Amino acid sequence: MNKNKKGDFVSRIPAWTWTVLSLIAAILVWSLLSKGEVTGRAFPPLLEVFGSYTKMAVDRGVFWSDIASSLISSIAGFALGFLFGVPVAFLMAWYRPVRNIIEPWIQFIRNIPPLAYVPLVVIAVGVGRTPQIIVICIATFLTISITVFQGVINVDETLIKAARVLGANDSVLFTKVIFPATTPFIITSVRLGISVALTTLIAAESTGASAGLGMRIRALSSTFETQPMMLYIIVVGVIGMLAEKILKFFERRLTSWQEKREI
Amino acid sequence: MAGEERNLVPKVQIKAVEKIYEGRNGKTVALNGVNLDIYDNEFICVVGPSGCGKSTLLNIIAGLHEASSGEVLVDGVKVEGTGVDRGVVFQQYALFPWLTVKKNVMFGLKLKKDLTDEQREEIAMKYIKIVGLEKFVDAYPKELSGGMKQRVAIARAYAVNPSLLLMDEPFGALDAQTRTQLQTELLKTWEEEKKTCFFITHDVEEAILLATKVIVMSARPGRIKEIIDIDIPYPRGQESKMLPRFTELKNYIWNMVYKEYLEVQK
Ligand SMILES: Nc1ncnc2c1ncn2[C@@H]1O[C@H](COP(=O)(O)OP(=O)(O)OP(=O)(O)O)[C@@H](O)[C@H]1O
Ligand SMILES: [Mg+2]
Repeated sequence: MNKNKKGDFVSRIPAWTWTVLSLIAAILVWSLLSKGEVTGRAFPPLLEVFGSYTKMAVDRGVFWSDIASSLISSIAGFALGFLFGVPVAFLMAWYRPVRNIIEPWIQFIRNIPPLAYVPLVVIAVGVGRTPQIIVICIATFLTISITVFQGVINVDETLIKAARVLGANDSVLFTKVIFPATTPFIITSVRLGISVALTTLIAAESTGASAGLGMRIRALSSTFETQPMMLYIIVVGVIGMLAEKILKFFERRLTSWQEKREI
Repeated sequence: MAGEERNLVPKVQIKAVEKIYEGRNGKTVALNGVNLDIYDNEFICVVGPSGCGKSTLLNIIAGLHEASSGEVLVDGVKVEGTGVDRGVVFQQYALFPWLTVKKNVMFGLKLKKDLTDEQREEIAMKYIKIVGLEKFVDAYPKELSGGMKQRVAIARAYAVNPSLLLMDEPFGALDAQTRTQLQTELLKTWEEEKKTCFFITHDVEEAILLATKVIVMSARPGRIKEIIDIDIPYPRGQESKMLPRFTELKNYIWNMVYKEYLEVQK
């Protein structure tokens, strides 16, 4: 619902104006905070933050390899989590015993912070890339399977009835009704999964990783190098936003049939 | 000869059907010994107080629910699960929101292996034209009004050519004008094809206008209270409502339904 009447002053301003204003406001607030004696420690001047790019990328030469390493771990972990999560969700919804066997475990592990089970993963598979991928895979699997499962069991019963009376058997019902009806939930699960993959980075890269955004943020924080640390934090946020943009693109194509609130 | 012979065997035989739902608050006897024969070319309208088991009966005929005891035969064959010989139109339209109007209508046709793609297309377009939506073939359900959605649902049910059409308050969610319009269209279609229909409604006028027979069901546990032959002449239309006989039938049926409604209140 748009409460501004068409044609009035506010609704004639293009949408991006607000985003730009918000960005300018954020920069102003940051600048003010950086002037404060206490807050200045957490918010170094913005120019210094971006200036630390040279230090990280040129002097130490780790900036891009950190990004690459984190992307590889999170994309691989996410992809595996998705690949396992979606079929498990459908199986849980389709076969009651599968649900009764798996769901309690998902609910049990889901609320344990990944940082807590990281040592176990390292003990099991050693250090290197593998434990990072496994930790992210576990975290995304849990989120994706639960979200998609909710979607499958909430498919409108009358759609299933309508398909049955039109002659659909189980496999038609699954591919032509339940699967498309669940697409919006699958997209939501991807959205949550991406976010979980990124927020799990620090935990995943505390497995003795030699590069990575999460590992670097921890390292920089222990040496009190606030400027580059802030830069890395911003990078994680930007990666998340870019991923969201890509997802939006697919979402528009796949679920344009959905009834949505007019905004 | 053949036609007469066929008329002697009921299209649908409902034999001592009982339905008991076991819920958290104990058992609900939704249907208690329902017996009914439906013949070819009949248009049956079912009225009765809310909760008397009308939808339950329709779902059992459709094969979507199983009777607790008793059986339903369609063309002499016991109903076990759904079948394309029985089409259903639901009150909530039940269109697939990710499919366009045309693809919704083609859903059932695609599952018929003996048709070519051109035939499917042709049949779909034929029914879309009958319900007057040829301008909306490529629209998604979200772009349609309630009345248009129900038209699509009716076209979709007709397209697979079921020999029996089951409709559960199909016009229940529509405004009075759209409702009147769709009644008239349905009446016209039935007068042409005489497809056997089992139609549930809360609206006594609608029942009399459409039906060859009105079935009044009693309050829970649901059973059939009375079957009333509707002797309003064809062709019928909204003007049929002006006939003295129409008013007479309406008062008679309405009083009976109202009595059952009071039963529910007790
Ligand atoms: N799945 C179910 N589980 C338990 N009880 C049910 C179920 N479906 C229906 N009932 C009960 O069975 C009775 C008949 O329900 P039904 O939906 O057939 O009534 P109805 O005549 O179609 O009512 P309405 O006119 O309101 O649509 C009701 O008392 C209802 O509460
Ligand atoms: Mg009902």
